[in-house]
Amino acid sequence: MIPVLRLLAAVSALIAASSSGVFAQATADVGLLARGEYLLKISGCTHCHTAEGGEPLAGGRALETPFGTFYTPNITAHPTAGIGAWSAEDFRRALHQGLAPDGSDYYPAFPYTSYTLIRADDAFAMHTYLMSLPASTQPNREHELAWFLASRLAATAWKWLFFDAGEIQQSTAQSAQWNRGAYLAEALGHCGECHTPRNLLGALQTDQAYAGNAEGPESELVPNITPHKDTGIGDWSREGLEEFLKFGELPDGDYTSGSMEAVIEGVRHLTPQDRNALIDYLRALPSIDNRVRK
Amino acid sequence: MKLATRLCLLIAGLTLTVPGIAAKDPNLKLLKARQGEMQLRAYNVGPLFGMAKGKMEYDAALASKLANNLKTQLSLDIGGAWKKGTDIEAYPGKTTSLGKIWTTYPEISEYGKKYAKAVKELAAEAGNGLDALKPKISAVGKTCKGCHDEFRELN
Repeated sequence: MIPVLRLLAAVSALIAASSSGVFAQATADVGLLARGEYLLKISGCTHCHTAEGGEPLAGGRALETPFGTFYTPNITAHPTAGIGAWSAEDFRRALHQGLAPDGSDYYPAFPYTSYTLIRADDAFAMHTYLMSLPASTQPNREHELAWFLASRLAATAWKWLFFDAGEIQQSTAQSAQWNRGAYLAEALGHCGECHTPRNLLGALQTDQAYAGNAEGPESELVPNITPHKDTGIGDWSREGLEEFLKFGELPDGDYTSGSMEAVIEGVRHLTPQDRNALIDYLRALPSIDNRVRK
Repeated sequence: MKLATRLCLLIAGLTLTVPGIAAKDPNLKLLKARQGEMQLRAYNVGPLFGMAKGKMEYDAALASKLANNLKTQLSLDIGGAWKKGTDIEAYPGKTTSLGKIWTTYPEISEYGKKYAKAVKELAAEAGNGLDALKPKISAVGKTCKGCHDEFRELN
């Protein structure tokens, strides 16, 4: 009898909780966490904020650029070593405006130029998920930059020249699928941050969007991913693009390496619908003839 | 009759000319030799990446065999196939090798050394489980990309 009574009590408690909204809230939280996890994976956060062999999201990865070496920070929930003391609004402001909680400007090695396009509700989900993960005490490391960039005022000036904040706007002239693809490529995936060449001051050359970059992260060549037949991905089949986004396999049977290998670790989690939307968007980009060479 | 005569002449001409061109440019054989060597590397590397990326199931015996094939390949000396002047400028559409290979020589040798080191480490670990294979094949891929980025035409 006792197990039956316990079962009845449990069912009663569940009904009571559900009617009072607690159950609904718990379900919503689980959904929010799952959404945050998905967004974090496909946005590449884990890749950049995890050093080789290091604790997940505890930072310390070196990003070598023509302006010096940036070390990604700890974004675990630790209150002092990480971002555990940040509010959801602090997190949103960092993504959307490139601002630290103390009001100082971030260098654009943190791709807020793309993350500014992320919807506020998605930023909230990402923050919620991050705060649910284990905290790391790993201290942040100072960047090693050229002397003229040592002051954060350089970042302020750069933002004034090149940064416009604002969430992505839906294009009514395009399909829902295209809009989703644009959101994945431009905002979450921030593909252009590597695949678009930069000017001497490190700003994206938007007239050459996705046309490849001879000065990619860690001095890698980053290919042209516009649909140009000779120099881009215009001769890739849809299946070829799917295989690439799932496994990093190139049409000739080789596999991508270097930074893109790590990016694939994130984007391989794309749902089939999102993968299709991303492929559709990339295939609809303006075709640019640009052979990338050092 | 006129058509038949012309056809005969055309066939005879082609028969004589095509091998003639090939015989006149022995460098084409060099290009094929080094491309063959690269294809053999790709043959061995492909399934190793496939296992690491979850496209195919990990097979310790196969992983070990392929990784050791790569190691064995290190002992091949086909340096003679990398003759100066056989770059993309001289042979557009037939090779993707950039002239920089020769103008900056021996810079490329450093890339070769990194590759050889990564392959030896891969051969030692590939059969010891998927977790052992992953970082080692990734390291090999990184050395391949490093060299290709510098010395090979992209796309």
